[in-house]
Amino acid sequence: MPTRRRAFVVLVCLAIAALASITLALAVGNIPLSPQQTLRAAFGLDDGMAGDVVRHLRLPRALAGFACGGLLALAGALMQVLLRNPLADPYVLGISGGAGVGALAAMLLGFSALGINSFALLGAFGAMLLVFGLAHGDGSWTQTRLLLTGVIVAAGCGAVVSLIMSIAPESKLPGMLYWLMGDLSQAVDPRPALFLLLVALATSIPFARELNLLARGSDAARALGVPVRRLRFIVYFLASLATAAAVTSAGSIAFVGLVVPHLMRLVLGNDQRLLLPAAALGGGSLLVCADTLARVVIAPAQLPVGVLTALIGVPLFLFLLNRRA
Amino acid sequence: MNDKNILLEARQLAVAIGGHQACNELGFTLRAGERLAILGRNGAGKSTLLSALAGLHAPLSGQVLIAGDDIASLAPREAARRRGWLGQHHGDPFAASVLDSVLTGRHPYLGRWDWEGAGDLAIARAALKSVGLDHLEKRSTHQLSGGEWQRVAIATLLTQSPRVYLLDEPLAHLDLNHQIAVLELFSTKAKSENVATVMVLHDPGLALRYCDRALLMFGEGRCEFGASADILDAPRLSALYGHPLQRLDADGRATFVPL
Repeated sequence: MPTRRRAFVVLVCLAIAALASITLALAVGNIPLSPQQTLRAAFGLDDGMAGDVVRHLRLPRALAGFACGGLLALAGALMQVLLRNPLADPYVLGISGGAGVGALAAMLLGFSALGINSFALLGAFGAMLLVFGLAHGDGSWTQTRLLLTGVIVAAGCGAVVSLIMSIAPESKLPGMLYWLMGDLSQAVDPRPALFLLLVALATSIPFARELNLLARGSDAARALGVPVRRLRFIVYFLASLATAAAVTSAGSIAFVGLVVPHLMRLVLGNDQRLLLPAAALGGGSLLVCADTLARVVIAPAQLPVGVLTALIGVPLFLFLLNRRA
Repeated sequence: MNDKNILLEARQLAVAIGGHQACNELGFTLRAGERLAILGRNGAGKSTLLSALAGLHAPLSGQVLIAGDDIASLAPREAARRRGWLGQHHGDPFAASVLDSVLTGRHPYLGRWDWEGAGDLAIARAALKSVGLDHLEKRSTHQLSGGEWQRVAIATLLTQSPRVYLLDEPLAHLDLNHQIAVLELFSTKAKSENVATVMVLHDPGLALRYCDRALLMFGEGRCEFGASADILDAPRLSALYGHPLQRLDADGRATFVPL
């Protein structure tokens, strides 16, 4: 059990790392900037091209990346507790599948970025309500029932996505593929996602000790005084909302939601009071770094960031897993 | 019924699971210091009844009162300060240290923003010591044997320190010396701290030795409650288990041997 003091120190360190990752994202690119130029530009002291690039291109994208990474990692940590399953990630219950169906349908119909985001959000909410309604069916709402319902809905969405891609004209396929792999260049305005990240953290952290108990089984948690039914509803809706917000602004970025909570768990232990905020900060930083790399490795072309999160995350995760074993 | 000593009371309790009746019109009281053994065949509904007594399983009808109040009307944290429940273990997906695991027992006493303090740590360490696991406090729960895990769960319950202990097979996975140690622990606790204990047991000899009340569950809702000395005899137990048993006495301690 970390003490309050240790948790504070760890979170401050992670926050500094997050700021560093965002500064890096602002400095690196086709027009490289010195740290001094970057800071001047970020604070609006530079009216030239550097200021323009940083404030209007790199900063919104870096903030969107941070918000999405944080939302996905937080949602993953919550889902793993809710389903008591280390393999759970934000996408396991079909929310990204629903968003994918919405987004691809909008692309097929030739909508603009705003239309695509709205359709993705609608799809995500559709899947969330469908899973909730079906799993809730007999009132039992067990982990197994919820997981199975989610997996089946996700599979159904996957089939619809394949269907859309097979009937779509060839010119639209690259855009669809990029969306499915996760891509931050489509992120428009980072503010809603950042706001939601704050709301999700502020809502989940007060329940963190109860989540520690829920992870040990719902009967054991109830015997220790946790109102399990209410808690599981809250967690389900928070995790779903966080996932929907992330997927809507950046597509289905793989791996952050599964691996970041485990990375943090391996290093910091499994106390949700520390794990939830740490996962949000760590997930945000990881995604910002991955996106910066995605912009520069084959510049001037860009890679979809989802490919890089997996390429960075897999070796890091395996290293930590083996170090502990 | 304003007897302050009555810690657990079942009133007209009917409990069922999956269409099988565990008990019907069951009524009994348990006072401070009393220990009740629940005996019965597999599937008779012992665990279900225990869950109902803990307020974790809704009864078909009737009431469970813990220290005078209906368990269904108690706030979850207040209920957790009054009764503790030891379930059968089904594995834990995420590892934690033994000490962290035991500290979860303090949850009902901590406010939303509180962290476990020195007092909570001392309580948890004392609980670990009383089950003989103080040397393992840093061990991961994934590296425990079944018996050690069971003792960690018992230590968690001691850390919760309720007034009514509801124990579902507390002796599961324990070797003989630890079985006796756990039974002695709860006997002493019942007397010195005025708590009531209910335990699901499989050995009628141990039930007779360590519990002053017994509840026999024959299945399909038929139950018999009484003082263990009165109702734990060879004919009843033979009928209960559907197998002839014979009582043997040695140094004033009885065992029931299957024939």
